[in-house]
Amino acid sequence: MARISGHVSTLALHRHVLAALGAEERARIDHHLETCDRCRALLDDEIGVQQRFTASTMPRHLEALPPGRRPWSWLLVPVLVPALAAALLLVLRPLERRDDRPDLLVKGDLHLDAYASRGGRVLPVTPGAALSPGDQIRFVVTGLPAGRPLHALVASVDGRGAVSVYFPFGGTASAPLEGPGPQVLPGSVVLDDAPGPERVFALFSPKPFTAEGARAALEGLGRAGPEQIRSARALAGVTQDQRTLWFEKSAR
Amino acid sequence: MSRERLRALYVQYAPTIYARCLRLLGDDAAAADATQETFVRLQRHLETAPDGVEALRWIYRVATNYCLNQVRNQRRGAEPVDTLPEPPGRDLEDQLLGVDFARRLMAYMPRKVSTVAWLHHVEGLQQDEVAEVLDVSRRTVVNRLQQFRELAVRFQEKP
Repeated sequence: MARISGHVSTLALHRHVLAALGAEERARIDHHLETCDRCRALLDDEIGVQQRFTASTMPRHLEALPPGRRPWSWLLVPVLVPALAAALLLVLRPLERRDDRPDLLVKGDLHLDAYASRGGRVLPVTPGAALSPGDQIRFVVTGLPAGRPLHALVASVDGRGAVSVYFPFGGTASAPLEGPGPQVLPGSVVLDDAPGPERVFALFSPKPFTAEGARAALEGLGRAGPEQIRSARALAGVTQDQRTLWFEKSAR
Repeated sequence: MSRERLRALYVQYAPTIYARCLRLLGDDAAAADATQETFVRLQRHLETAPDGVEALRWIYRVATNYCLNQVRNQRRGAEPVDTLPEPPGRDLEDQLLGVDFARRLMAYMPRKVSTVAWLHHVEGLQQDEVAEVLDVSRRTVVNRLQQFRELAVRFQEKP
């Protein structure tokens, strides 16, 4: 552990925040933090800085990110290595199919992001992120058009097949969201102890819609089992505009 | 890299980059700008980094170099003499714990020297950690810390 006069280095604190420490090192730093007001204050300050950035600056930056390379452009790369090309095509085909399905084509530049709060730390929920019972989740929708409200419904299915409607919470129909700028959905969700994957869908439509179709589709996905929940990309028979994310819940 | 992958990397690492930049620059807006600039420079490395430890090494290296360059560039503007750092005296290491003093002193140091000195004296990294983060030998770290001390002492000798 790096220290100034017996204190924890900022590198070690950053590793702590990123959960990138080995068990032994983490235990040593946790022990030090319990007894050192200076390092505890530094860690609290670090967490506060990251939380402020995540809540206020990050949504604006995300909307300004460059568009990135289109998936099909990768097909030009491996022409000299047939085996690699074949492998890449196998990997990329699901992406092409997702984008090409007209009934699921997503309009505009909508995004659904989630952030998990655990013990005072805020972590972005990346695909397949490992979360625990008791973690609190907040959802952020970006890319909403200005002056033209969209009606939205955010709902999920977990590893036990249970369906939940998160926005509007417990609702039976969509609720309007309007840009510009990111919309942090009201309230946070405290994860229960159902282990396995949970997939969340944000459904959008120019017109109000009921939750009935989404519930039925999510229940069908739940019956298909955990692997289908992990790999699902869209719900059939509901709104055309949708976004999805998923995470993995561990048992308590 | 797809836009989705880019967003995932940004969501994962940008808060850490921002925290680094804010500590180095001491200004919210400048740190936000530096975060975007650093992320653009880092995105390929972050995508291939096998874990958070490797990613942090890149973040420390690139963000520290970029932000200390910004600090140095700001110094090139006209600056009243009475805002220059005070002479370091015998308790240099104690004074460097004051981040504002350290930031101003680093503005007068060559980049390679200031980067090593910042990581060691201000951020508390041990010499071998500094070597690991900057991908240089420990001997290089020792030499640059010695250079830093010599340059700092020159402030004492200025009239």
